[in-house]
Amino acid sequence: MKKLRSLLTVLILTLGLGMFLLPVFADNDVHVDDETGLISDYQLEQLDAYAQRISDVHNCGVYIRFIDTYRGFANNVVDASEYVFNNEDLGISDDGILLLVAMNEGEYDLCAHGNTANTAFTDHAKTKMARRIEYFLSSSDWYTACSEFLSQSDTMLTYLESHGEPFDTNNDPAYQQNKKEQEAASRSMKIGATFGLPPIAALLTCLGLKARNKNTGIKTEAHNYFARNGININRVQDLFINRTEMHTPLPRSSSSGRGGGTTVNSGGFSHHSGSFRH
Amino acid sequence: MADQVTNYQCPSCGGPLHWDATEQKLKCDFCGSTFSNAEIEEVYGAANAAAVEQGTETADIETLQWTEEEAKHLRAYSCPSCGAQLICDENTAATSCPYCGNPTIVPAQFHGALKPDYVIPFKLTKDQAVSKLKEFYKGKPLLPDAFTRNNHIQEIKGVYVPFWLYDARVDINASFRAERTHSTQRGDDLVTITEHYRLLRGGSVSFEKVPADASSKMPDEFMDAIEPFDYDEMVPFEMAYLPGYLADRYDVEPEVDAKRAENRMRNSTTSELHKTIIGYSGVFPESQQINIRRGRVHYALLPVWMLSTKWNNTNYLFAMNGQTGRMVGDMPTDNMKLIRWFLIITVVGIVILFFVLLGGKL
Repeated sequence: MKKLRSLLTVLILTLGLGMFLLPVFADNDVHVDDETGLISDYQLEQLDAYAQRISDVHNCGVYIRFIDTYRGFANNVVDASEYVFNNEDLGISDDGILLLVAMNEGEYDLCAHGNTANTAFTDHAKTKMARRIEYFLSSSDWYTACSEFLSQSDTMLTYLESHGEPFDTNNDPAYQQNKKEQEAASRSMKIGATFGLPPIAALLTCLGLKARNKNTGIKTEAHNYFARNGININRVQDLFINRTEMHTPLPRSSSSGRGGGTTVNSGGFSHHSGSFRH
Repeated sequence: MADQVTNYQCPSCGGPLHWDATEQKLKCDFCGSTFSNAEIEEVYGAANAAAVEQGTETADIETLQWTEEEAKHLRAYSCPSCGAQLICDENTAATSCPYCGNPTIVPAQFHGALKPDYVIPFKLTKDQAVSKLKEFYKGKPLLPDAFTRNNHIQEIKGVYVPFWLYDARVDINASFRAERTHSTQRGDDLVTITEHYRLLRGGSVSFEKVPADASSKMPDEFMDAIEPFDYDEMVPFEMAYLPGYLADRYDVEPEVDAKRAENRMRNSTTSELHKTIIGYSGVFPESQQINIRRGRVHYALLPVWMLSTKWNNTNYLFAMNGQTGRMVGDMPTDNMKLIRWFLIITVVGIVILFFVLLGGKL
């Protein structure tokens, strides 16, 4: 009887502990999911297998979700991706990256959470990934967009492991080259301004001083001669005709202006979102 | 020789009288007595009428050495004080005798239809005009030093310049196309929203006494630039304001000057209309109708001091409003000073920007 009681106690404790620990280690096995039906089952299988492999190799979950809309559970694509990440228990020990694509809104979000993901997927890395992904999304090439995301995720995670530091502004040759070119251009402009502006200012000043030596001229107005109460503008009508709108895509903010690192919010997430429908 | 000029002499001692801008009365050069206009008009009213009756077309041109064309525009009078012959322009209405210096006026030039409606008496004296000119030189760093140092006023004369003063009402109706633009960010797009409007404006603007000088001798750009005159001090014309100054009657017809005045009125009316268009980022005129209803045209003599100086064999002319003291003129520029200023500003600017923009390193 005692033995049975001890066995029951151990069983209850094990179950209780198991229930407590289960959410922590629970991983979502569905790495790629498409509720929109844009990607064929065969392609989904391929992508899912690829994502599973990357996740296993790097011990960091890599996920893709295509949804119809985020209306109903989030106000914007950033909130939506955080909701999906938490609600679907994504990540290996909450560590992973998610590409969420909302078709109705034409928006996407790259959302990273956890130590490895936030370290590997720096702001600069996500920006670079987003450029490629957005290109394929805007071309309605959904499969290639997903492949690109997975491939780039693999590259970023591999880079972190092999170099001991994430891919960022300080080790991106293209970024460094761009930065050097921008600095050179900025310096050239400053040199131009230093030697070009003063002569222009001097010329304007001298013309102003010279103008002081001549103050004659034909008058072209008669403001001094209005009769008392002589101004009577009695018809002032502003008729609205129509309204037009012009949409101009905003230039993507260049990563060159930012420092390196990852911007992580209070929920532990980092994001890069955008629109693929212009 | 016609004796149709008058010079006002002191009822006390017989000396010549001239208008004193300080006392705003006629003053005797010899005994210093002063007389109001009314007192002098009482004495000289009859003399002026007699001078008018003798006419103004009696120049003895046969004895003058002028070409026929020149002679047509000259008049000869004899000075009532010393009897010397005065040769004047056909428009001269007040002058002074070059021999005895007495102020002389030609009443016929201001008789009947030629009589000015108004006059603004001189308020500033010759000495004040000279000191205003010296003030005018100040604050002009590009003026040659020698110009101010060696500057000698060649001539200074107080002139009653004839002006036409135009009253008019300008009616205007106009329509404009206007835009109001604002931008907002939606997603990754910058959305520029433009609201299009049609603006209708109309009304009228009345003008009183818009001046235009009626003397072809006076440069328009000088006469325009000395404006405005204070019309509150304008008084009905009396001959007694003229002694001591030069005066011409008009030689530009009111129809000719009206174009200039109306152009000014048109511009000011349009400008007033534009002031009612507020809050638009772009305004484009569509149509505009302007109709000018002419009113009275007044004839007035306005006081101007004309000063001329000579420097480097070039004459420089200045004009000063004889009522307000506003001085205008065109002066020379010292090119060496101009270059020096240019270089100083350039070098100082480069040095400042070298440290501010480049941190002191190339």
